[in-house]
Amino acid sequence: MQDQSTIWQNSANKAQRTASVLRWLLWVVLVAGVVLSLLPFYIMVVMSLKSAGELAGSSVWALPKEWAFSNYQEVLTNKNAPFFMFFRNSVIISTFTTIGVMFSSSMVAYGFARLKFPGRDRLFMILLSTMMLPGIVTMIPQYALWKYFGWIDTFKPLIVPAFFGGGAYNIFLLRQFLMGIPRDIDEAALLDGATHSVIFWRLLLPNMGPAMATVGIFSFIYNWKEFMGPLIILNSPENQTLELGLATYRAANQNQWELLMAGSVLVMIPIIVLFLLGQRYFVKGIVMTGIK
Amino acid sequence: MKENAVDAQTRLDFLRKEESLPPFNWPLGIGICSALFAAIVFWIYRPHFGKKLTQLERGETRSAYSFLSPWILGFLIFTLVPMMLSLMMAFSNWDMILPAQSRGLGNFNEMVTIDPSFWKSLKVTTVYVIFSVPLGIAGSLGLALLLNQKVRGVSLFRTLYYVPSITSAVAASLIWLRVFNAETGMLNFFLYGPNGNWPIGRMLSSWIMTDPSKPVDWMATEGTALPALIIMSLWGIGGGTVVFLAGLQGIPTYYYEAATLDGAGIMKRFKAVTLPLLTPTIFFTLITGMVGAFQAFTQAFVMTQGGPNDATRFFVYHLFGNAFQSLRMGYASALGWVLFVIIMLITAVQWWAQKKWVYYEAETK
Repeated sequence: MQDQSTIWQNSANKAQRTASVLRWLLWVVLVAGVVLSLLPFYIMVVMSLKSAGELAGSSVWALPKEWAFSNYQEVLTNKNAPFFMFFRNSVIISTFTTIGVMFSSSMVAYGFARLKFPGRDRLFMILLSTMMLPGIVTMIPQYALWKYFGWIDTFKPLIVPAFFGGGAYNIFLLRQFLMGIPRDIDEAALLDGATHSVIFWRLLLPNMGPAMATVGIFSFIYNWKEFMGPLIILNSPENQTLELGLATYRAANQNQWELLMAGSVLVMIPIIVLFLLGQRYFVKGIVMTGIK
Repeated sequence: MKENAVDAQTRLDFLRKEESLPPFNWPLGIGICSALFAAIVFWIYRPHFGKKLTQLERGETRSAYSFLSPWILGFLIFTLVPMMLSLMMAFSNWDMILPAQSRGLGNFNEMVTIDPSFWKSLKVTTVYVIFSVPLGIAGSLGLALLLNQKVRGVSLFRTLYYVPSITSAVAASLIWLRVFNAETGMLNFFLYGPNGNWPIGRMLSSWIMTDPSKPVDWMATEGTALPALIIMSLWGIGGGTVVFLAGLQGIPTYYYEAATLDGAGIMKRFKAVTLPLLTPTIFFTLITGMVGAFQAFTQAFVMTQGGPNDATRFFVYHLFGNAFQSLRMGYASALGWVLFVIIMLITAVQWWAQKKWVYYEAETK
């Protein structure tokens, strides 16, 4: 609070004491909230570590008496739901879509942010309005299209569209970010005869780190979690993603909650790790793109 | 049971009347869609008719369109053409195997007259949107205000509150099935206490259930399944919180200093500075949240399969069943367009209403 005015600073000690009490109160509220919102995770982990017998008899809150890591072993080695194959499929799909999204949405964002051309404003309005389009409307004809291409039960329908635009939300985010970068440098480069692709690839892209990281992490997590697309496209068991695999696993093991919870933990770990590694850029990127 | 039998009979009669439908009129459909396409192109370039571009401008336009080409191609192939196809299919009867038949307004007629789940799913989805979106916005705004204070470990708090919103939807659904479990669930633990006899829980039981001595089975009771999914949706408020935090950090501190000098207290500052300057963010989260909530699907698919007694049959779940389980692509397309038109109308109303409550700072750029 150093930047407060002097009048404010000279106010009575009493006010400061109230403020510090309030701060402690706030801290307690925040801790309570965190505990409450993380409790479901606690239950999940605890359940995943109890044997079936213990699960039936003990309180949900109790820590396992014997840590049944065998649950994890069983999920990882189950022949009907090959975890590592699902994992590999999820990694392939999420990685390639993320590459496609970062590549194409940054290009399109540059076009909208930096160049003047007939139709720009109304094309941008169309872009924004596609955010309101429920995906399910286009899903049925797209399904027919994939069927016609013979792409059903392959990863292509999930990956290829990402290279064509990369989603209105991401384009919007990157455009906002680019609008915030001063134009002096690229105008100077233009005068020196640089083409727009040189300006984009050499001058602007290297400065888009946090925003690109945000878009990348967003899209990786989004595609990792994506359920309906893979559900419709991927039929054969060996092509399923982790999310689908978990749903199938539930259908097959209705009441084996210790296994279902172990599976859930395994599905979640990769995205939570990715988020924790990237969250520094993530929050910064969102602040800088100034979503409003 | 008797009622259901009558329903099935009416349904059968309705469908039998249409046993011999004419083949789909492709030239007419394609003609109408081409006209729509031409109208869109006309609208885009209307402001530029009759304006000549200089040499320089022409070059810029050329590079602009090459930068935009991925999106334009993608928009045409994966959005516009499918939308037009689905518009045509909305007036047809098509199972993806036999050639499409023309059904006229039959799909829409079927929705409002004999589809037993259309009105129900529309109602369920509307209730879900009406509660989950405003509660979610209020929750994320409140949380963002708290997380915008200078408290110890604030960045850790921000991270932890965000985590639930990135968890896998299927895994989250499985966890919440346990949370809502009647005997061992976390929610009932807080409502009924460790021994299952707290008054709050008893009141809830006697209000909802036929047998007031038992704890509520949230997922299996018609009256509580949807409220339970709404409660579950609030677990993800961390996502909106990040957006609000960004908005809060965009408010210049000198506004608060000026307000404080004028003698404004905390509440007054919130009402006069924070809230007005956050209205664009609220508007943004309102629109995106609504579009998202109208498409709720995975929870119902994993947790309830639309039950009990269609209490959680979301509109998209209903559509999905028609399209990919019954292979009624025409009918499902019609449902999709109904959803699209509803979302468009609500968005349009909000867009119009925003003039009354959304405050935009004068553009300085």
